Amino acid sequence: MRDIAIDLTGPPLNDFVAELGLDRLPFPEREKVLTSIAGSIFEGALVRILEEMGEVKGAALDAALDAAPSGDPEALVRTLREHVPGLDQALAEEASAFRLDAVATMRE
Amino acid sequence: MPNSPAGEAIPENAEMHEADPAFFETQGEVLPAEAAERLETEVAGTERQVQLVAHGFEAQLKSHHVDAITAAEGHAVVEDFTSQAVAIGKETRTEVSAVLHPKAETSNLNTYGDTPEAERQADSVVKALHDIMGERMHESRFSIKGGAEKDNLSHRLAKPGEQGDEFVIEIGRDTDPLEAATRIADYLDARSQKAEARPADAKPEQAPSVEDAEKTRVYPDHLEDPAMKNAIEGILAATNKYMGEVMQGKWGKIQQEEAKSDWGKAWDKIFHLHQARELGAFARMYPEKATAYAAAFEPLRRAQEQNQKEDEALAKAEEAKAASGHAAEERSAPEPRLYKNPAEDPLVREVLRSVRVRTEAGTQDVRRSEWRSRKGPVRQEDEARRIQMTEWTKFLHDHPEQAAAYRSLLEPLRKAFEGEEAISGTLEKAARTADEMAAGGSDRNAIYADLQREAWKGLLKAHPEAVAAYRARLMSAFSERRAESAKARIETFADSLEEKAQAGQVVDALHNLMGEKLNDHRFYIKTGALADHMSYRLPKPGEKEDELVIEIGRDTDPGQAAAYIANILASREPKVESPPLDLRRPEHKYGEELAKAVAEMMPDARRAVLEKAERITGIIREQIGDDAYQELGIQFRLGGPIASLDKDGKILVNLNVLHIPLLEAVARIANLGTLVEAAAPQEGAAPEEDAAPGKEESVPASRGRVLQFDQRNMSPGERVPHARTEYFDARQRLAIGLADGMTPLEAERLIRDVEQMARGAHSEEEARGVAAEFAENAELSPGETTLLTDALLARHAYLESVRALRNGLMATRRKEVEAFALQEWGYGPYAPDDEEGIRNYIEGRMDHYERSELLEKMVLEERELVHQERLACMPLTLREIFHRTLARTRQRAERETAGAERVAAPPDDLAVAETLPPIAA
Repeated sequence: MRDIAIDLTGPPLNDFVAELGLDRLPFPEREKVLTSIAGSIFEGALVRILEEMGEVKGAALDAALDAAPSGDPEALVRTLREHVPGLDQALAEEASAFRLDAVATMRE
Repeated sequence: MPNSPAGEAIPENAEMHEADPAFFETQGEVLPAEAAERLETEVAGTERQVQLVAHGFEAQLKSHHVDAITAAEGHAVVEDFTSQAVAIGKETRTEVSAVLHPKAETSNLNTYGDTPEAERQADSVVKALHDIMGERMHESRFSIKGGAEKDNLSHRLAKPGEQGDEFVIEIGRDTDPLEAATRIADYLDARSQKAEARPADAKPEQAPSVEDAEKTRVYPDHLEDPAMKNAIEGILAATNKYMGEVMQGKWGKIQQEEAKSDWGKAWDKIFHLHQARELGAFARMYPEKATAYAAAFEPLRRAQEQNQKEDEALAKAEEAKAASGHAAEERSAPEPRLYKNPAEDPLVREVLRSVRVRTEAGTQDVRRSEWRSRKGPVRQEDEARRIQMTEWTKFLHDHPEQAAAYRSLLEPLRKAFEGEEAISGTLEKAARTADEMAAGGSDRNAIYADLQREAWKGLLKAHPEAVAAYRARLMSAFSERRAESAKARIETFADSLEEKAQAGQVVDALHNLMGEKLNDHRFYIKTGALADHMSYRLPKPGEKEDELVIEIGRDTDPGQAAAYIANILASREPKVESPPLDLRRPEHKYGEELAKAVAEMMPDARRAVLEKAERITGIIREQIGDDAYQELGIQFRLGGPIASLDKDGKILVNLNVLHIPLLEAVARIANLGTLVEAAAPQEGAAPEEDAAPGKEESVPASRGRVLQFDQRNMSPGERVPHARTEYFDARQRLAIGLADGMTPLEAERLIRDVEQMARGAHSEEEARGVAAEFAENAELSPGETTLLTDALLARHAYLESVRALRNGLMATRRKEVEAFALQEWGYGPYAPDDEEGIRNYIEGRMDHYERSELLEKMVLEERELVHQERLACMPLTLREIFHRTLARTRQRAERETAGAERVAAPPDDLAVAETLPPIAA
C-alpha cells in the first residue's frame, strides 16, 4: 500500500476515526492506517479527475504542476485547485465512498 | 572639384582625387594585380578625404557661417555633401573595377530567394565571398539562391530561362554564410584554374624561369617551404580575422553565441574551413609539392582528394549540360506556353481529366460505405471538393507560371491559390510571432505550437478543402521521410560520453536480442535518469516524434535495459508472434528456440530465466505429475499474452512470465486450466454435448489433470496472490468481452457497478445470483453473462482467501495477546483476579488489530487494485500525469512529515496499550 499523506485532520477523515473504530488503535498504527486511507482516497479522486479531464486538460495540468514552485506545498495544492475546480468535491465523494466500502466490509 | 550646395568652395588643403580615365588607360598595360592594388588605395583614399572635407566643411559652418545658416540646415548640407561624396567614391570604385576586369562588365552575380530571409542570407554569402575573393568573384557568371533545405550547399547548371547565368549555387536556410562563401570560393578557384589550364596546354613550351623552378622545388621539411609557410600564415590570418568578426556579431547572433560559449570549437571550425580552402589552392598551384608533402601533411592529402572530387563533378556536370543541350536541340520540344483560353492548355486538360477520374473513384468508395446514410451525398460532395483542391494545388506548385496566368480564369485554381496563401500567411505569421516572443525569453516551440493550433482552427473553417489537401501533402512527405529513415529508427539522446556509450551498449544488446526485427520499431532512448531507472512513455510536445520514449538511468545495466525494451516492443506488437517453443522436446531441455533466445541474453538474465523456468515447470510437475505434464506441453515463446491457449488447446507462455513473481506465473498458467474446464466435457453432461466432435478433439484429456492443480496445499499467504491473479484475469476477460460494444472506460465503469452490487454476496450462489440479475437488467449476451459470472466468482474467491488470511492472522495474534496478558497480568494497574478486565483487554486489543488488518488487507488493497485497473484504461499521457502528481504529493507529504512536530500523546486509554511490547507478526 502506498504511503501518501494528505490532510489527515480535514473533516472527512476525522469522521473515520470513530466510525471505523480506529480511535482505540495505538497512535502510530492509527496514523499509519489513516495515511493509507488518505492515499487511497487521493488516488481514487485523481484517477477520476483525470478520466474526466481528458488528455488535453491533463497535459495542461501537468504543465502547470511543472511550473509550480517545487519547494512550496501550498503552491502545489493551489495549482491543483485552480486547474481542478472539482478537486475538493471529488475528494469528499471518494472519502464518502471509501467510508461506505469500509463500513460494509467491517460488517460482513 | 565638387562644391557644396551652399556654393562654398572646398578648402584648398583638402585634396580630392577623382577617378581619371587617362590614368586607367595608361595603367591598363601593367600587371592587373598591382594596378588593382594601387587603384583600390586611391579610391579608398578619395572616399576618406571626401569625408574629411565634409567634416571640415561642417566645422567651418559652425565657426564662420553660423549666423548665415542655421545649424539644422548646416547638418543637412553636410549630410547631403557626404552622401554625394560617398556616391562618387562608389562610382569611382565601379569604374576602376570595370577597367581592371573587362569580364566583370558582363558578370551577372544575382542573389535571390523565395523569401526575404533567403535573399538576405544569399546577400550575406556574397559579402563573405567578396571578402574572401575580392573582385575575382566577378570572373564567373553565377547566381546564389537562398532558402534551400537545412544546411544544403550545392551548385547546378542554370536552367533554361534562369537569369542567364552559367550556374546557380543553392544554399540552405541553416547554412553558415562563412562556410558557404569559403566553399564557393574554393569551387570558383577550381573552375578558374581549370579554365586557365586548358589554353596553357596549347602554348609552346618555354624554358622554366627561376620562379617556375621554385614552384616545383620540394623541401625536405614541408614547413620550411616558403609557399607552404605563406599558406599556413594565410590560414591563421584569415581564421583570426573571421573569428574576430564572428565574436563581434557580424555573422549573426547564433554564430556569436556559439563562439562565446565555446571559443575553441568555433575557432577550430573556421580554421578547418580556411585550411581546406588554402591547402586546396596550394595543391592546385603547386601540384608537385602537394604530392610530395601529402604523406607528411594529412590536411594537404585531404585537400588534394577534395580537389579531385570537385574536378570530376565539374567535368560530369559540363558533360551533362552539353548532352542535355544536344538532346534539347534534337528534340526541339515546344516549351510550355500560356493560352488565352486555359481550357486549351494541355496541362489544364490533364488536371481536369485527373480530377474527373479520381472523383469518380473516390465518390464511389464513399457511396459504397455511406449509401444507407442520409449524409451519403454530402460526403460524396466533400470528397469531390477535396480531390479537386488537391489536384489544383498540385498544379499550382508544379506550374507556377501557368497557375498565375490562369488564376482569375479558373475558379478552382483561384480557390487553391487562396487556400495556399491563407495557409502560408498564417503559418508565417505564427512563426513570426513565436520568434518575437522567443526573443523575449519565452519557449518558442510551445508558443508556435499554440499559435498553429489556433490558426488551424480558423483555417479549417475558412478553407476546409485546402487544409485537407495540405494535410495530405504533409502526410505524404511524412511517410516518405519515415520510409527513408526506416533503417535508422532508433535515436538516442545523451549528454555525456558515458551516457552515449551506455546508449550504444543498449542498442547493441537490442540488436543481439531482436536482430532485424528491431527495424520494425521506432523509438527514442533517453539516458541520464536517476539510478537504475527504466520507464517508457509517449513523446511530449517538442520532443522527437518517435512512437515511444524510453528513459534509462545512469546506473541501468545495458543488458537489462535491452531486455526491458525488447519486452515492451514485443508487448506492443501482438500480431508478430515468434513460433512456440516446445518444452517437451527431449533433445533440448527448454526447446531449441528458447535455448537460442536465452543464450543470446545477457549472462545474468540467462541464469535468471533458466532458474525461473525450471522452478515454474517444477511446481507444475509436482502438482499434476510427470505424465500429465508431458501431455500438457507448455510452450514458451517471445511476445503475446502472458499465458494463453492456442487453437489446438496448448498452453503458450510468454517469456514475460519470467519477470513476474513465481507464484503469479504458476497461477496464470494454472488459470488456463479453468478456461479449459469450462470448455471440457463434464461428467454426466447431456449426450448431444458429448457427441460434439469438435469440442472433444479440441480439448486433450490432460486438461482435466491440469485442474487438479491443488490450491489446498497452499498456505493462506500463498493463496491470496493466487486468487488475486485469478480475479484479475477474470476481470480482464470480462473487460475484453464487453469491449465490443463500449469503450474500455465504459466497460470498467460497468464492472465497478456490478462489483458494488456484489458487495453483499457472501457465497458463490449469491454471487451467481447478482451476475444473473445484472445481466438481465443490462441485456448482456450469454457469452458476456458467463464472463461476468466468472469474474464475480473469482472476486468472491479472492475475498474469501483474504478473509482466511485475516482469520489466520487474527488467531495467531489472539494466542500471542492471550499469552502476553496472562503472563504479565498482575503488574501495573491491573489486579491479578480481574478476569473481566483481562477479557476486555484481550478483546479490545484484538478488535484493534482486526480492524486495522481488515482495512489494510481488504478495503485498501481492493481499492488499490481498482485504481490500478482504472489507470490501465487510461491513455499513457494521463497515466504519466497521475504518477507524477502522486510523486509530487508524496514529496510534499514527506516534507511536511519531516518538518511537522509530532502530534501530542494519544488518549489515556491507549497509553497503557502503548506500554506493551510489540507483538511479533
